[in-house]
Amino acid sequence: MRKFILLLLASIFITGCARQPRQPHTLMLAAQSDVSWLDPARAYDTSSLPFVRVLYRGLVDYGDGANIVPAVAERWTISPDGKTYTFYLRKNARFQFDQNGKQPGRRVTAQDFRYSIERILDPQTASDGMTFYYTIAGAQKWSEERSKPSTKVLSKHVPGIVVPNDDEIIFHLNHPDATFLNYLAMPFVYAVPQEWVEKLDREGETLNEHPNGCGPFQMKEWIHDRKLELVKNPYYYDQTLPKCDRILDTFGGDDVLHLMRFELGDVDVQNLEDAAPPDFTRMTDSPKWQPYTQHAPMMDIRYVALNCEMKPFDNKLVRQAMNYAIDKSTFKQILGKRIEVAHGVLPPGTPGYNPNLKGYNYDPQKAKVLLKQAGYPNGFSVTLWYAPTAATWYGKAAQLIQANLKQAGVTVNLKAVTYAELKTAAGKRHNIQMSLMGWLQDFPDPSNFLDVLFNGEKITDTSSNNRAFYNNPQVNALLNAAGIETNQAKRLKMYQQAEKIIVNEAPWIFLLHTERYVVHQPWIKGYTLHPMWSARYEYVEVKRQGE
Amino acid sequence: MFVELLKKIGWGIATLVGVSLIVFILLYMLPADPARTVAGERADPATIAAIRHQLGLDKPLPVQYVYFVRDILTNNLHSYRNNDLVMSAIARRFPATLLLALAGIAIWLAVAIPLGLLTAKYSGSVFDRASLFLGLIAISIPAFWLGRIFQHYLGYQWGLFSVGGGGANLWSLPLPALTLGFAGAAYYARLLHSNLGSVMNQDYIRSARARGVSEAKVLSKHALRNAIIPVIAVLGLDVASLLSGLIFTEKIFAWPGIGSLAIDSILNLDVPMIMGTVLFSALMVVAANILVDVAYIFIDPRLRK
Repeated sequence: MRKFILLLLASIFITGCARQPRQPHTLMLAAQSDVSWLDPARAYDTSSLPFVRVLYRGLVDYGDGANIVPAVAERWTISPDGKTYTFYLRKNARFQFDQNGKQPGRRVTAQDFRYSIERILDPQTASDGMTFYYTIAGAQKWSEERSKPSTKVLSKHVPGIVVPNDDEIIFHLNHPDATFLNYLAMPFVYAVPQEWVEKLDREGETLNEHPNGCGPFQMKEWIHDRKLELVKNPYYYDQTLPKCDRILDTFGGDDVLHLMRFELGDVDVQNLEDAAPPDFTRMTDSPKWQPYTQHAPMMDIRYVALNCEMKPFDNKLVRQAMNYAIDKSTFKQILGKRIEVAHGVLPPGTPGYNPNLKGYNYDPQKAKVLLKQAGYPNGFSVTLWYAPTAATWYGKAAQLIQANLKQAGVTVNLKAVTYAELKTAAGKRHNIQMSLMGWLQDFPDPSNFLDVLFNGEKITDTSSNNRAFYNNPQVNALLNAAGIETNQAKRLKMYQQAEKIIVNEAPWIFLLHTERYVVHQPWIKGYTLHPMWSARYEYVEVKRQGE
Repeated sequence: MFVELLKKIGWGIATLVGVSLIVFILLYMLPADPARTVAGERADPATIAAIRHQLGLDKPLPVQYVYFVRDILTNNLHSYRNNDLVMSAIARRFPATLLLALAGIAIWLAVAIPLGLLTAKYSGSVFDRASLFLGLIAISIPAFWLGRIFQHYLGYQWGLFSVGGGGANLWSLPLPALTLGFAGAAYYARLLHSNLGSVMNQDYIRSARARGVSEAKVLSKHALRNAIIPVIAVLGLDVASLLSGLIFTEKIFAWPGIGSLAIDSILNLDVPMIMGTVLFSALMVVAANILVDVAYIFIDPRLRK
């Protein structure tokens, strides 16, 4: 025992002085927690999406901006009525592995895309993306048939998806939908090989643990909660990509540790989104790091949902008073230049963003007058639910909101819960009055904010995304009409009209949009922030001296 | 002796069943819907209901508990967050936690025993008082703060050790081990010091001295063996506080052990993983207490009778 202790202590201190060597041409990343999913049907969070999109590929993708470009589909046509989309596939896209795990796998065909979409429409897959594809004719019925046990013979395929041959896939929609290409660019429906998924299922394994797509990288090793290693797929259809040989993401620790590792050169890219204000200022003001710092809108909105079905927020005047009572500039104390004050719902850069929307300026006197008019001359007491663990910001923001509203005579009691509890509580009807929330776009379109978060016809008793339970028939009609309008200028105008009404009726306290800041090492080339993807690793080069 | 041991194991199992029940009921009472956590942000109520059924969450509470016990015993309990097998995840992380815990305990004892002996020998001296004062400071410093200070200065500023994040290996071990060992070393040094103080007044020590045995030998051979018994007892009880120290230490240094797994699962409301980590920690505490009882018997021959 004595020898063991001495040996252990000696080894600790001898090896402590050494640094771990880096592998050449490897992009080194660090994240607080493990990647959640490598199964595209399940991946829907920022930890999973950057990896899923390089392991698999879809029919279409985003270009350098928010424009849709071909991916596995070489081209597509849209019928004049906007209800039929036909895609023609490239012939050189191959899966990474065959049935025996040998490389390369077979060609990616139109059937694979039909299977991938049907797989996420099956409730057993528990995909977050299921409802996006209800726009395909017969998809909702096909899905609902599978949500409950039934003895009747189920239709094999979704009627609205037709596959005439290996190279062609046709989608018939229920109605014209200008966002359908955006849905197809989402990783939920990236191609997966049916026989591979079924084989894994028979063996008690999952696609999540054994990804097999046709993307520029393939998985080498995933040790949960420790590391994920991807390597170049030599059979990727675009032979100019990827630009680096390997990606190594290590998990654990917090932003403080990651920033230290970045400055020591052990990590190549560091997100400054949640960095403490002194660290953020130090990095972004430093002449050393400024040339390697990038920023772009996060395309999000952070807000306080005011439950319009519960007192006192069933009164529009009270809701407006809440908006006038908050000095949004105080949030700069927490996030500095990482915020932009919100005047409405849509973040700048979203199609249909209205720069002329005035929103609510800070006017505590007006807030008091409105509260008096609403019958609350002495204010009231209310509980704000928030999740301090979702991001450091939320805890501090809740305190600022409490302090701001106190000036207007409103006593805010803070209720800190986990994010899961907050989602459950805020999504339940007649449950809580006020919740501090955030929403990040799924794709760059106003419908992804306005229709999802304010369409009263989509309110559900539990799990509602309309957390203010705001229901205005005029707004609903505008949102529904915009959803099936194919003329882009017309539909954006409708969304702007709807947003104007929403802002006036104030179902939320519209707080702010955030700006994303990322710093990378000098030896990293080709890293650019994208309006849709948090990272596009296939374009990143690692050019360290001597490598 | 054997019957006593069996009794202790029996009580240990009863404790684990009790812990599992309490944890299960507490998590069941949380106002959050695990089906919603699994289904995600956009899932419609039909999907959430299907998932609730799939997970057995629509069954009565006692049935759910039985399912839980069955799944945990057969390693069929899956994480809500990423579908990982709970017991496999814990088993995968256990070596890292064990390595860190052993390194921490090694530092406790490697510092505490010589320091305890020296302060006992020079009891009342400036050295003794200074070590008492510094020890009190060391005990009072919380691990999460100390860890950050070590990380910043010894790792980031001076480059002596790895700041962490490189996995569970010897490169990354020194700073988390020091963090974990620091307060414990000071505490055990004081404990040993006071035990030695009372042992040194015993008759057999006087006899040893009268026989001409050197003072160093009296301390290290005659006194230490008796003074260390309460230390071992406290060490067993301290497994619980060691585990809580591990949680912060692992998180700060990105040490991929069970502590950081517990934190991540709590933050994500990954109910099966929370239950798994809590139960595993309870198992460790129970096992450590039984081991301490066995260790007593080897250290103190009187207990063998």
